[in-house]
Amino acid sequence: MSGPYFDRLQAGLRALVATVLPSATVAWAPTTLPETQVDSPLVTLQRRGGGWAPGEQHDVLPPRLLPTQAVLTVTGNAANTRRVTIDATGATWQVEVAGGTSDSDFRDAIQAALGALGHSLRATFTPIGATQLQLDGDFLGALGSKNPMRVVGDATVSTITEQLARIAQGSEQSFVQVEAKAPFMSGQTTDPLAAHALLGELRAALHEHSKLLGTYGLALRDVTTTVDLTRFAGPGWQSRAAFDLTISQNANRATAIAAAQSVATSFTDNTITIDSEVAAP
Amino acid sequence: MTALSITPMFSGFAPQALTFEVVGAPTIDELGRVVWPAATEVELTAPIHVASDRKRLERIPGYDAKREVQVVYLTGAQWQQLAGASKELVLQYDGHRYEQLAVSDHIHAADSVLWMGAKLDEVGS
Repeated sequence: MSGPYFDRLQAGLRALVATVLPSATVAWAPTTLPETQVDSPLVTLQRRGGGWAPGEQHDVLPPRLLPTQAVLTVTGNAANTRRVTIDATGATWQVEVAGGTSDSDFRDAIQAALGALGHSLRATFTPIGATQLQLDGDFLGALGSKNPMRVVGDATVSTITEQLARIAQGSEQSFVQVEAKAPFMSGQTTDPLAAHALLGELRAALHEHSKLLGTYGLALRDVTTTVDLTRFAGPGWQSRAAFDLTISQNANRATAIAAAQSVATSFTDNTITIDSEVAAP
Repeated sequence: MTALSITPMFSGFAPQALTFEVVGAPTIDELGRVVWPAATEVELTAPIHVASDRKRLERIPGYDAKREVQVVYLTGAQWQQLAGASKELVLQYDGHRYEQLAVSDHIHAADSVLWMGAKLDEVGS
């Protein structure tokens, strides 16, 4: 089984809000962050629901071989700037190093990117020599399922071991509430629509930053209207507003199966016997 | 959380020592999770004065008149021992732990006393 990658949902949406609203504090709710001690606008994200939904076509794909172990090998001239783009499990990683970076440092930079908190490939990484990185998937499909791992640029990938699998394709839907809270600061002009202004800025930038979400394997599907939640909080009023996002991400389920060992037909009773597609150990 | 009146225990009482559980400011990681630093305990010794001071408490942001609160008066030197702890403090006394209500950086004109309010809701023992 692969995904859903909730860590990518957490990190991707947090990165989006932090990019568009750099002055805001961004946290996922529920949170132990003491609001009364946050002296900047606070944006909280909360997954209010969702779940796995089957794909629109061909829910179960024909059996295919999935990599369980692969090796990345860095290439290119170390004297030049080197770049690599890796697509796997719906997410994307881009690594660039300056000219003069050694092969091992380039390889280590790729490993760091693939293992980043909230934006990771679920695999064990083992450096080999100066140029290679061995990837052992944490589960079947961790190195790619519906689409194979794709590496473009100054690196190549080769599959070492693979497993025949059946893939149920679908997506994980997440309904996420984005709530902005702007405290009315003592000694400052208070704006009853401060939270609306923050969310307006964020909403306007959502599509512009869809590529950022895409690197985490996230796709924006829907945005609701902003609703006002202003209320009395602590020592005074707090401007609050919220809208909901619908986010989807690939969540394909890979199940190991064994290849058919033999197929026998009987012309006397018109039957076909397959020995046998069974679950692999 | 159990409401516990400690007025008989604290009011007008000058304990020889109070232990504060000092927690620094939290940070937020890449996943948007709040990460609290590990707490350390700091014991402050006399002179410590604890009293009910509703007039001052009413000036504390977040003050809830429905709650019983006390003010713990600390000298500047004692406050320095809690340096870096201005975000979160838990007061421990007589086996009970109390949440901080608010901290003020107000300096008393006469003797440079700094003060804080301790919420009287017990958070654990």
